[in-house]
Amino acid sequence: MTKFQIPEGTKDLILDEALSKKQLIVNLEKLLDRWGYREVMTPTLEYFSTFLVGFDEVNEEDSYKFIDKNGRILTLRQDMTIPIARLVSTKFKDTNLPLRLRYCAQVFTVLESLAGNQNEETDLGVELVGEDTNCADLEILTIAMEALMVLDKKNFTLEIGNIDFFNEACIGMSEEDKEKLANLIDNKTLPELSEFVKKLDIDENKQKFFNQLPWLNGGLEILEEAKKYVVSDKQIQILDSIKELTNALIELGYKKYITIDLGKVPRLNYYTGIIFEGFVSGVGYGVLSGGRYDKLIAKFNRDLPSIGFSIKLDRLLTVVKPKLDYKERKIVHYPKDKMIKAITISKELRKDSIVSLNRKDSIEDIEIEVV
Amino acid sequence: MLNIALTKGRLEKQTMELLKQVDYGVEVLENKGRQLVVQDSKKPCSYFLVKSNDCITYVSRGVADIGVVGKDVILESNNDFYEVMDLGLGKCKFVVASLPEKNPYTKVGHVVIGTKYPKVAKTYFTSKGIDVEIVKIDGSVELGPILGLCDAIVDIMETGNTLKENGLIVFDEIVDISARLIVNKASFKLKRDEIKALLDDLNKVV
Repeated sequence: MTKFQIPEGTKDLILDEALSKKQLIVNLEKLLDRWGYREVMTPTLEYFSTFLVGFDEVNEEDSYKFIDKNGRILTLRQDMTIPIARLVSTKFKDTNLPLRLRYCAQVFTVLESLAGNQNEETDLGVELVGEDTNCADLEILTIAMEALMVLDKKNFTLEIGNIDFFNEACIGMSEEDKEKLANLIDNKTLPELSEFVKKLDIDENKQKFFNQLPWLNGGLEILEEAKKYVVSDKQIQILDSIKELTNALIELGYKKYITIDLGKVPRLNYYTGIIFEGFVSGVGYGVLSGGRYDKLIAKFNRDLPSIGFSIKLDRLLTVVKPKLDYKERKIVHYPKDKMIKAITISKELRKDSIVSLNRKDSIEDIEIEVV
Repeated sequence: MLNIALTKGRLEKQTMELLKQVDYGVEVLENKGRQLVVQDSKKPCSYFLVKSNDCITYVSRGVADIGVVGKDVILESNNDFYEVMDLGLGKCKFVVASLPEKNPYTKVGHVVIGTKYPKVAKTYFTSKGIDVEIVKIDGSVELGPILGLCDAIVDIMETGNTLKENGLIVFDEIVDISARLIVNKASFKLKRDEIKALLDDLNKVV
């Protein structure tokens, strides 16, 4: 028998790999705990219909599905925000708001095979439920900054945008056109974008706006530059509200980590306001992503504005060396008759080190080795 | 430092010409011998040559910051990168073609399409509301309808000569294709200035 393999898109983590992931989780959870976010754990299996309610459009091929004994369709959760939306509307009925929740869970997506993607990933994140003020936005952005600091002290950037900036310019457009436009802008597919914009029934200013939108990213100066292209007063207000947030973040000392991307338009029917994504040097994908989703929980019969983010931990493992909470690794070698002494000594050493025991009858007395 | 993945073959030469015009030190690519990664002699860029499909993989995963690859390959992939510029090189088209008497749009019954590009074919026919069976063929796709493997083919057409010589006609043009400059999403944020400079340079000649 030679075929003991693991399914495509999954991974075994062993020894230092597992240690370093666990340590990363511990470090991040400590941060979130100290901010007063309480952990929730939900089942790995959910009814597929829960996700159908949450995402307006589910790509069915992307989820693992099973049938339970009553013929209902189960799925391995694809994200944690939707289970939390379900949870908030069913388990927190009479709880004071806002809720500050955190999670660390395995999530599953069926991805293109052999492209080096992981189908099972650990998602660690927070949700601030029941508050729609700028203060809530700032709290979440600050935590995101601090989380990125935990990951990588120097080389990261948190990119901020607001999906309404795009939505405002789309008023009057069919959903289908809007969806197509969002896709082209989000992926900065520029050659097709200019072709598509020409075909739309919109005035010249809007055409110019949509063609420019993928380029409205960069430093804080973008917020001013964008004013040259806006097509409505509401958009000016949106720019001002982003400015207010970034000013606050600057005051908190995060200036060099902020970038702006107004052409960020992911998952249209999910996010409703500010959106953001964190990038760490050395990782080709966004590692932290989040935003405001004021309409999602309402789909589960409770109208609560919310904001949150999650970190895809596995993408970071190759580049991040988490701060370890022990000083060194030691081995206590002992001869047979010194076992009690060895255990007593190692207990003391374990206060700041990892200590394993090794029986070695060729020695007279206990020897401590640092490895 | 920008890592640039170029698609091997004709596209590599054409891209090199473009870069030369805007004063990049790409002459090293001409005499690279067996070297796999070469440095630009004037700008902070390094180049490596890969097969077209790999170009997409390298860029998606951030091993390359930038790639030059045909739109045909992009359409067939699941894109997770920015496609920022049409370099106007290697222009051709995706078409639906077959023998004159085998019109796939008017055929009554099960329609089989042979192609090297199953995703492109599937997306196109789905958008037309036509249900077809796709058969993947790797080479000489034109043979399909002639030998009766399929009713029609979806393939790249440059001049149309191959189709003509085999007695096939074009029933519909699906989309225009040319080489595109693609950029890794994270690189776009973390190496913004360098990437913008390259794009500005190329914009002068594209």
